[in-house]
Amino acid sequence: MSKQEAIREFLLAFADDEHLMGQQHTEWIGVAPFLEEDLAFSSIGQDELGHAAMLYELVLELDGIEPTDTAVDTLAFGRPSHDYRCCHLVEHETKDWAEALVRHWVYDAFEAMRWHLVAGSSMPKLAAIARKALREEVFHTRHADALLDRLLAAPEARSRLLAALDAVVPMVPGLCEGTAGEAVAVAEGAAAGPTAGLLEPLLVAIDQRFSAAGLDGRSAGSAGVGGPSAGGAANGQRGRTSRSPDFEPLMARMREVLDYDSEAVW
Amino acid sequence: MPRCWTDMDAFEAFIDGGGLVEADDGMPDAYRRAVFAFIEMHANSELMGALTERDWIPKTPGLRHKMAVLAKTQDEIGHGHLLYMIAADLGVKTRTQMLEDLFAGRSRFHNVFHYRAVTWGDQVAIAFLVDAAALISQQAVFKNCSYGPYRRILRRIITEEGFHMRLGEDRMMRIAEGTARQRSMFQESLDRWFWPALQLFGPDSVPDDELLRWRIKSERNEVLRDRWVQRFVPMLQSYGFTVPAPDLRWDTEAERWDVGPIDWGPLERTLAHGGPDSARRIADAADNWSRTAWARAALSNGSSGA
Amino acid sequence: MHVYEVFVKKDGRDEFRHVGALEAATDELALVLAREGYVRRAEGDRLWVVRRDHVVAAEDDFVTPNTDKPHRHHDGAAVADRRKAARQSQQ
Repeated sequence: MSKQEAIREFLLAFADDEHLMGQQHTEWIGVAPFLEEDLAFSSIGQDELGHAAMLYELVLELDGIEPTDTAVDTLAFGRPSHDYRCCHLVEHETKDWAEALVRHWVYDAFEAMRWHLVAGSSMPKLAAIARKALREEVFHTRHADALLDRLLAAPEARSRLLAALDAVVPMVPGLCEGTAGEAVAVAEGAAAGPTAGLLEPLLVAIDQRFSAAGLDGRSAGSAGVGGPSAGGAANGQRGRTSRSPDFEPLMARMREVLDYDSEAVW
Repeated sequence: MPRCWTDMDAFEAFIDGGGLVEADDGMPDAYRRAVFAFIEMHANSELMGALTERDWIPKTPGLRHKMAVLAKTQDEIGHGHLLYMIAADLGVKTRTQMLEDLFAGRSRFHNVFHYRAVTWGDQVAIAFLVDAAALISQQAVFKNCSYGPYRRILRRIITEEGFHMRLGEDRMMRIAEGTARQRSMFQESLDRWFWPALQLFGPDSVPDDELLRWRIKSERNEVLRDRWVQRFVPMLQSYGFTVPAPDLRWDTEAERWDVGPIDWGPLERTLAHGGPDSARRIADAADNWSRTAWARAALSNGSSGA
Repeated sequence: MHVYEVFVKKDGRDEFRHVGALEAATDELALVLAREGYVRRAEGDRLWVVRRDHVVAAEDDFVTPNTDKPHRHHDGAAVADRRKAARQSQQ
């Protein structure tokens, strides 16, 4: 794999994660538990889609393609499924707001770490995107934390959130899985370290977040986090090249209007 | 400083003199109920409108396009939020009561949101025709509304609706300049949405409409409806679409478009919740509301003890 | 839940202005949610949220007596008249 291909894979994984995470947030518009939360969740979704668009533009530049909105959309929506590099966590469909909230917290905790990896990137445009994104991430995290502070203190909500954590945690190693050739991208200075290096600090953060509320001894650790079983080998993503069962229906939904008329500009 | 009026005559003299009523004023009960019902219906319509658009948002064709559409629907929910807050301050119903009445099918919302958006073209037609109809109504209320809190938030709502109008027209232009399939999809959407959008203004105002007397509204329904017709008939035609009104004619004497007789049957049915998609839309909203009850309970319970 | 009143200010311009209200369980949630509800288009760059039950409001007629204090509204008419008279007497 060439240096350029290695960097492209790294960026594509980042972009696809942001894209699908933003897409998942769009499913909550109008149906969050209360109106103020609806507004907040929608803003976070818009931010993630915006990050995806900027990262896809970087991929297009590497490919030597002018990064128009149409080119971005072709890249975002037009690849065969095995060419996507998203993780299963962002493909996961849920109609449970507890799961959506826990995933939002976990993903944004990870995302902030990932932006820090590229904040000093040898690619100036990537570093600039990271600076913008990190300003936004502060509020994503504050939002999720403010809700969790309150909800984890209420017994019924706490048990729902812990059940949600049980569903989300097995997908965390996949979230931190790197792409093929990532070591080359790191050696080139695209990122300060490998994505896999974020797994341990993320697990510690999850443990702190969900144990801090006094969870009847049922911490994230006992949910399988932090132990050796949390390693990346068994996550089934095969280096982010395989898709989960939720991916195809999600992509069909995203492509429905695009597929109506392949010649159309909307 | 809160005010009181000795009787309805004194209150109406205040209104006639251009006075603005505030939430803590001792307004006549009939006025309180009328302004509350008007704002509650507006709030419900903003929320149900967002839920109508919601079906298609995840399918929006394009990444930045989706961001713009999300921002628009977010605004609609924001408008609902602003309106529910000021409606609750009138002390007739709490915000929760209003939402639960809506989801139980006990409240009214605009006729157009009893229909289903069945194609992406419908989504664009709503953003263009329906939002424009709503904007024309809101501008007329804003101009001279006697209820201060409503008038003040309408300023923000109208500003944001301006963004939505430009987004809607931009998308319609792309379709108008697009492929034959796009154009025929949009023509079918116009055929479905033109009349419901026109009916949103309601039948002609009655002569002694108290909403007009108390300056909750300041223009008659038929005047607003005509404003919309005169603006949208030529615009749709200029983009090469057919206005689905068989009796449409240009009145050379009055120099205005006449859409012919209006069948108010569909409007009456939607307002009785018998519209084509009323049952599904309300059941969906009620289901979502009940599935997230635990979060609301957790957030509100804590506050009384802590 | 508490009702919070939301105030926004553009830096360097005007006073804080009341823009609306929201419901939130905590101060932090109120701030976070006010950000999306009221300044998502950067309508201001400073933000206050105040619990409605913490607002100290004056009772009815608290201000009324002050509507009748003409001596606090010197309009300068007497000064202008004297100056005019002085100018005329010099001519």
